[in-house]
Amino acid sequence: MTEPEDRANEAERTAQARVRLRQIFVSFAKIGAVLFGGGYAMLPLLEREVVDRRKWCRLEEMTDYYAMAQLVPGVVAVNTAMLIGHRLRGFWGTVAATLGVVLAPFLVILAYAIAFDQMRDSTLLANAMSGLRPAVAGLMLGVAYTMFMRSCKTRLGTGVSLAVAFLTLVCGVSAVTVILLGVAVGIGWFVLEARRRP
Amino acid sequence: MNLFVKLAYVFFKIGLLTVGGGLAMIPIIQYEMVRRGWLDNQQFLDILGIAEMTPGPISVNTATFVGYRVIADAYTGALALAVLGALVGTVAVCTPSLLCVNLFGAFWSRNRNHPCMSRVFSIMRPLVTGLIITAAVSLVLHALWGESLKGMTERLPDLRMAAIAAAAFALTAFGKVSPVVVLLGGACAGVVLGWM
Repeated sequence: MTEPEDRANEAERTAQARVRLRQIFVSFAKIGAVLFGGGYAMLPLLEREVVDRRKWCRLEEMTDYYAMAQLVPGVVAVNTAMLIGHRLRGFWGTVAATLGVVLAPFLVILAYAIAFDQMRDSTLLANAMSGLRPAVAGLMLGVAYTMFMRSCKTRLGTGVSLAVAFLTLVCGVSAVTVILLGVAVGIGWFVLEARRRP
Repeated sequence: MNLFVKLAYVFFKIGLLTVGGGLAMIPIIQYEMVRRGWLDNQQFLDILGIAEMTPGPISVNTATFVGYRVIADAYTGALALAVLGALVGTVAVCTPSLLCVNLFGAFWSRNRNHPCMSRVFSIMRPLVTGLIITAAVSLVLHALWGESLKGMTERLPDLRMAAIAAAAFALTAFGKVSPVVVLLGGACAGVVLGWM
């Protein structure tokens, strides 16, 4: 490594050492407040705050975090926040980032839950909900359609998604069982492949 | 078992079993909630709609809402306990990822391109698709025919509801319209239709 590069890395490291937990919390609380509909919508917002404004990491690293967030169990948005928090301040960084990103959603849903209790007898609310229900169902079907169109590009994708839909819908196998089974099949397949190879 | 412990356990499990994004959680949450009688399918549709229209991932929103609902139903009038329930659910659903990032984060990022990992994920992606197909179909059936699906073939669903569902499907699948717009449209249509 050349010397100026070394010094630049050093500067980057000291800058990161000074990131305060409160700052991590505030930054992610801002992102959490405008995070609609989960993972993908979050990416541009996150890049603006973390890369452009705070300079906590470079754009290429963001792509890596995003890919990794999908491998860790849980929600992509929360996982990405945790990974960045981890890079900045270790364990307490992950805690600050998580608390930040869920703060606004938590308060909004809590307010809704309490308000819903108070307005149970409102006809307006009941009517809005009765229209919302089929819309949610239709939306989910649309999402399922889009995902299936993506999966059925390969024979494996078509087979697995249809088999899983059949097992859970018709045979009533639980989602938990299917997921554990899927992980086991993936590992088993890898082991078989590895053995066959010299 | 104490209700708070049960809440924590169920949402921890949900957080742990979700691989590959928030949508994958929907079938698991639906199964766990309906099986335990914590939510029926109608309530699940409600919370799903609210979750899509408000900030935050669906699983976190559901955890907050169900935590509140379950405790509020068990201890009538105890608002503080219900808020605590919401807190327990929310923390529990985030804990598995928190543990994984801290304990295996380095290991995970080193082995990100390991063939075993990519094998598992080549199965998980279509598997999640299959689970979502099931969730979507069951939600559509419940939205149109009500909570009990008994004698489904003999009764006709409410045609206005079917029209809303069909429109929402078409807008999402072919129109690429934002979910917030689709759902607000559905709620407005519900108000207008209820008015007429």
